[in-house]
Amino acid sequence: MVRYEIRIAGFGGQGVITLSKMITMASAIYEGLAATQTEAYSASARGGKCWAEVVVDLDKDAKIIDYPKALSPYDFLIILSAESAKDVKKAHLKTDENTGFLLWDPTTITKFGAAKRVKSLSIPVQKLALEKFGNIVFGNSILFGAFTVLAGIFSEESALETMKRFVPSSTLEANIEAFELGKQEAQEYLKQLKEGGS
Amino acid sequence: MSGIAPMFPNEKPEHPYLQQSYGGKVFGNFASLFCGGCGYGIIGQIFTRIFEDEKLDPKLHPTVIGIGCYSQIMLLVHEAAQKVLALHGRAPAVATGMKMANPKMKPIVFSGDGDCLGIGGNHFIHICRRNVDCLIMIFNNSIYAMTGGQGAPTTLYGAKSTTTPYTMFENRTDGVKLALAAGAPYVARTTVAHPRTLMKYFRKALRHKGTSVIEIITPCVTYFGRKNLSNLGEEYKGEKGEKMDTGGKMIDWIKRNSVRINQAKFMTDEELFNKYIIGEFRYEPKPEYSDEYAKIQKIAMGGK
Amino acid sequence: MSSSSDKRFLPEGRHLLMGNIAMVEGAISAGLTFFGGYPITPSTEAIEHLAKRLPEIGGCCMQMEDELASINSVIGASLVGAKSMTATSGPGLSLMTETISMAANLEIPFVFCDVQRTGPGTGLVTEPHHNDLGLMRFSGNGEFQVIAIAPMNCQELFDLTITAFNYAETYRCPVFLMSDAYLGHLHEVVNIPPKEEILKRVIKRESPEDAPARVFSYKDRETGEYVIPKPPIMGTDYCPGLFIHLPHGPEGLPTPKPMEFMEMMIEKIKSNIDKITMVDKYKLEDAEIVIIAYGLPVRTSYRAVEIARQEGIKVGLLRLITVWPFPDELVKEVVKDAKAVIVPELNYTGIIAEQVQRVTKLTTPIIKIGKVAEFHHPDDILKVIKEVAK
Repeated sequence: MVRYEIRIAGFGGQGVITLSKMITMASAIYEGLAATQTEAYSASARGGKCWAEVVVDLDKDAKIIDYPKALSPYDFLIILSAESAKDVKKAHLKTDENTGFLLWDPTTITKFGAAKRVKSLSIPVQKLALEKFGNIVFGNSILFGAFTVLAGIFSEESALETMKRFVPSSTLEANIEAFELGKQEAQEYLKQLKEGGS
Repeated sequence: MSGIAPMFPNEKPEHPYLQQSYGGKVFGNFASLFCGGCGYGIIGQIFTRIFEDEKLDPKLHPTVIGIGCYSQIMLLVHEAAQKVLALHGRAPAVATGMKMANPKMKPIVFSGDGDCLGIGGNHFIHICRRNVDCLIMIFNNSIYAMTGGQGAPTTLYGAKSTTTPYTMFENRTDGVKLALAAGAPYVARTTVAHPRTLMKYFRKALRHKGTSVIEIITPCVTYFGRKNLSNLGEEYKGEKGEKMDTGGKMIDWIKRNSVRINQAKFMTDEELFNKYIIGEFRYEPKPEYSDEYAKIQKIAMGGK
Repeated sequence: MSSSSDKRFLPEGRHLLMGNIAMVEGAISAGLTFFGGYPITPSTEAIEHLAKRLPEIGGCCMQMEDELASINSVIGASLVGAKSMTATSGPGLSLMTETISMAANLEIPFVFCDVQRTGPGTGLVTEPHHNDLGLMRFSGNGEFQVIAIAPMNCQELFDLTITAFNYAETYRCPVFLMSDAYLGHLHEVVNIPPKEEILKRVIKRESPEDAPARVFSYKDRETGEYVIPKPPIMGTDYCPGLFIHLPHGPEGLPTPKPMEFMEMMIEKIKSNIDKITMVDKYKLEDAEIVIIAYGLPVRTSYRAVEIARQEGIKVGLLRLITVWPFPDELVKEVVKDAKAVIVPELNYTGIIAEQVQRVTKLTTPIIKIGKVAEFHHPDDILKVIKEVAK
């Protein structure tokens, strides 16, 4: 049992739930790992506080996730709104090598104190998506690209297969472009991290 | 003495529909469990008669019976009819399920005033709104008779019952108005004192596709008639009333207290207070629910 | 019609499904053609998904005006031969109990999916709470037995829904599927078997060729066994003239012996308890401490047992898949030599713990681990195991 705990928080309508489902599908369907996804939101379905949790068992032989809620400290946090950023503390993330990442969006979060003290990558996804692709929905693909590289729990092929299932075929190309963008950001960050560390 | 028919023939002619009734088939006689003067016998007999004469297919006309005195009508109705006793007030919902699970069917619902306008009011409104193909008969005796004569939502103003010992002061529900507002395409009201009209409406409702509502005013001598005077009703207040303790007196009162719909048009609300307006209120065919659902199924199957 | 029958089954293979959707897909595979429901959190995904799926296969999904109407329409549809079910939560179950007792009397088969939420009253609508079993097993007035099945993951929500439909057809009693708010909203992988395999499992609703007069269950006087005929279908020849929910005989006519009828209602299920009971015995052979659990806590119990075994504590798990009728004899046998019994349940009272107490006649110490609106972490159970083992 090697649990990989992921938590994504933001507000409704940002694609929090979709992103969590994409991560679950890539790991569960295309990688064949045991995974669970749960979600929760406040009364306002659009604009209210919203979060999703994914638990992936990296052990190939695992059949079932015994405790389907993600537990702190997390392996991966994606924070997309200022309100959720307030709750994040350093202790919420694992400190081991190659895990304990925080991914956040400076377009929506102006001040993020905890981010300075952990392995964090900020990508202005909403801004980028709007500028480059004309619609903030592409932000999801950017995040998914960054997640794929940083977490490394599923292969890029699995990620691309998942994208095909989630995005309409007419925008698939643009979404893959967005995915690549996120991937590059993450790869650069990993490089920096390596250089900084050594 | 020859040539003169005996005054009391030894052999009574058999009732023409005895063998068709459920009780007749099982017990060999009309095993009616109703009190003397009750109108349900008339309704049961009319049902059997139409069922037989129209040669209705019992497999396509499941009969859903609600809870009330009239539940015993199952002994009088046609023996071939497949009858199911529903819960109190839920008969329209059961009929909806039947119709939608087997759209070839046209369920016939027997329900009372307490059943359909009291506890099951919501189901009644919504079956009318959906326009599910079925025939709903509301037997209105303006009292909860099976439980011993408590006030019903249809009890007339000023009437006495066991729960309104100082006379009824609540406003009454009008089943017809409710059905009209809910959108039932065929709505009529008649009384057991007008059996021919009842049969006419019944036949018409069977041929009509959609929710048909027929409210039938029927006497309850035991719990309504015995406790109320025949001057019940605004117009007759001045008259000297007498206890309506026989079926005849109640039928008489029902006849007097009913106003034909054409006449009612020229009458004021005050004049119509506590009256039963009888006649056909609406007959406008409109899209039926299972037909509409079949279209949805076609779209869902990709047929368009 | 070939297209509609193809659509009945999900393609074979791995699917990522939400619990509620896995449940209704299982129902569709089992031959569901009528669903009557009323939206209630946390079961709404069931009716939403069926509103889309059932018309595709020529079935009907109806959003009724209230819960009473939902369950009554389900009864009506089942009477005319459609496999039918409803899905609701605790407050809905409370409203539907009257009809459940009527359906039990008339032996109308249907499946009841209860996505349990925290009560009483409105409670916490999105949190799990296994509090409805008390209501399920005595749902409605009168005496009758129900069957309650508790899945623990999305795969089982699919598989056990098919089993639930088969139980309803075979035993003709209300069959409850005990999901909960957490399980219903959980996304997990569901392995869909090939459709031939599913079809092999499913018991069809058909009226027998030569319709017997006895359409309701009865006790065979010669063998003493309970005979449960196939459910009658209105609109066919295999139907009594009268469905009347009084104590009735096998032909459907009122019986002068209500006691015999009650006996039949209870014993037709109890005499088949061995066939109905599904359990999983996990490392029970030499267990000194026995955990008895159902539903979600089973997941964490498996882990707790594993960790405790690694530390040398002899602990085993009895998982109840069929929670009701409670398998008295089986539990008695399992806990016979146990030092203690631990019952983790998602409620405070310990509904199953009470049953274990009844069965063991209070000779074995029983430790309840209650949780409400959240569920047990393996450590919660492990802590108790260690305390007991000391």
